[in-house]
Amino acid sequence: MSGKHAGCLRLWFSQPLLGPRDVSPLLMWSVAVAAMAVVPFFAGPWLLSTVRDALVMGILALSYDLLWGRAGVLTLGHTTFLGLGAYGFAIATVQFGQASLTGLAVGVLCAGAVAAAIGYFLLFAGARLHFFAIISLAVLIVAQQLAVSWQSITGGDTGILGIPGLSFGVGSHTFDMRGPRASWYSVAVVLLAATALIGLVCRSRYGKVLDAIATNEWRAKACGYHTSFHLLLVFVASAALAAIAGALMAACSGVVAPDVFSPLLATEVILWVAIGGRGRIGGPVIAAVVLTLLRQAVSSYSTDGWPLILGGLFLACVLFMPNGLRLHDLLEAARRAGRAVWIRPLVHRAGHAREER
Amino acid sequence: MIGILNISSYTCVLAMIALGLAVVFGMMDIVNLAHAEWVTIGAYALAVAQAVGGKEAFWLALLVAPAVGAVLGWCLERFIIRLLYDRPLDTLLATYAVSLILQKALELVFGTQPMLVYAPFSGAVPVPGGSYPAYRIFVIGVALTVTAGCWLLFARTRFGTQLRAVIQHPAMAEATGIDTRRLNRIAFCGGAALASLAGVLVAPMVSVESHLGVSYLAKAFFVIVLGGIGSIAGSILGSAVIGTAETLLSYRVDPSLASAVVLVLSIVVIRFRPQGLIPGFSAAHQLLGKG
Repeated sequence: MSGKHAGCLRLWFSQPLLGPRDVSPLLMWSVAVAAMAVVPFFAGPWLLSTVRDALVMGILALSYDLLWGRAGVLTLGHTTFLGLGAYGFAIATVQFGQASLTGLAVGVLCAGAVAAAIGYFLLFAGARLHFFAIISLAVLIVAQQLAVSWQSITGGDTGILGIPGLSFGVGSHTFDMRGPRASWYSVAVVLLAATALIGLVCRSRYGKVLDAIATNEWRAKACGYHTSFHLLLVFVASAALAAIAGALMAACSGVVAPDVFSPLLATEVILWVAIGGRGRIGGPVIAAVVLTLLRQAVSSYSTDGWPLILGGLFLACVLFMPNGLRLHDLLEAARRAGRAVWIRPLVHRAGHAREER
Repeated sequence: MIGILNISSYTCVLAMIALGLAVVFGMMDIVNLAHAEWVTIGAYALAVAQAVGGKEAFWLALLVAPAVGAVLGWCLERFIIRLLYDRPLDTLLATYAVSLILQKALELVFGTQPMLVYAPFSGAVPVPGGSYPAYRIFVIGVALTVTAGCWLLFARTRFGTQLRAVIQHPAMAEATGIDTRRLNRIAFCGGAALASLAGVLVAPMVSVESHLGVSYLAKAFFVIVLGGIGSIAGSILGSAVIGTAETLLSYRVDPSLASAVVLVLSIVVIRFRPQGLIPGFSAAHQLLGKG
């Protein structure tokens, strides 16, 4: 029986042979690994912690990219799971004095359970697209209200302070991940591992199935796939990854406030994936890191400005860039513009010639 | 008796907000996440009118706010939604961005502190088992009148028949010579006007801030999903269910816990009745959406 299941799993996740298409993702990934390893030796502690927080947002963007980009499930409340992970971690470590790994597990389990419950009731009922998006927004709003009003557990408006950093023991040796450099490396390892894992899953047969469901669910169903089940699986996996991001965020910054449930952050997540390109893996992560750093730069000038900029960017992205921003397209556009500037006299002459004819 | 009045005043306001949303959703397959902002715009219009013209300007605002809402709704439809007719899911994101921008713009213009609004008259009306604020009874009356008017418009006029035809089958309606684009625009403006009117009505009962509408938005969507898409009776029944559940629960438990319970209840109901309590005119329009 177990052999059959293992064979089944091997079939799902079997990888195609390496081909020329894999060169650029592999190259990008290796560059990212090298950059993550090298950066702490050059950056100061403040810059390091700022970029580290942005990298945590990159993990969040990755989880949303899996859900929206790959499986085509739009939600407006993805930060519910970020918040659940953060609060789960904080409550387990601060209120109950558990080890940080237990806290992480509690956060991930909470988020996974909530996602499984919501997903079971909605996805199996056939709720898709708008409906799922709206109800997830409502879940987010209710989660925020609960976080504010349930003071004995969540600490109300102030949230939970003094969350311990990550540390875990293997055998007799204890790894302490509290210092700026150590926490950088732990975040970087999680991000790179998650990127690689999702990249592999999307490359395998399972990725093809998800693509099929996202493109046309009816046809995928007609091909014999239990689409609701696969969507639920992706939803729970994405929620768990978001919860890991939340727990890392809580461990790195040491505080959790009801802000994590704010619809604003949920909007930013969508924007990251929309700009970075749905279904691509590197793009959303880079967009998340860049836009988070941009937000910090903007909010050091004015706190009101960011939501306006965010809304404007969002609108522009939806109206003019439905497929996201691609480096390739940018280069192409620049090349075309450059050529137009150079060859303009020629074009004019050609136009005249056509008119004369 | 007071309980019943509380329930009905909440239900009536909810129904007015949900009506416009339901019709637009049913017709154009557009989820207008900026709909709640029109409630806020209505409330701010009232605040501005009263700041200029004193307390009695309420009656003026009752007429002006829907007009302002309709004009702004027309702008939204003309400049943003029309560009996205063939990408329904993107309109959801676009309207979300619009609601974000509107909220912040209102904050920038009017400041973050609550605006001052007054009820046009005070006093209480004796009812069996105590007395009840006269203004709330007025709200119930206005909301009932407006809802009944919408119902008549939908069920009894030529325009209403055309609207229902567009909801049922847009392509077929177009083939019989109905200008669907024009009807869409009118319905969108009408929904915006209704939401603004609801904003004026609720303003004296709540604190008028830039995120006033957000709490109504999620409820209004539950109303639609519970009641059935594109059906007026469904959205009225849905608001009755949600309004009753929430008001009764908030007597016993914390309000935020009450909304959590309502949320869970509606999710469970959706599982077992995906097409809503009263399925709308559109038989094909199930939870999958048309996009």
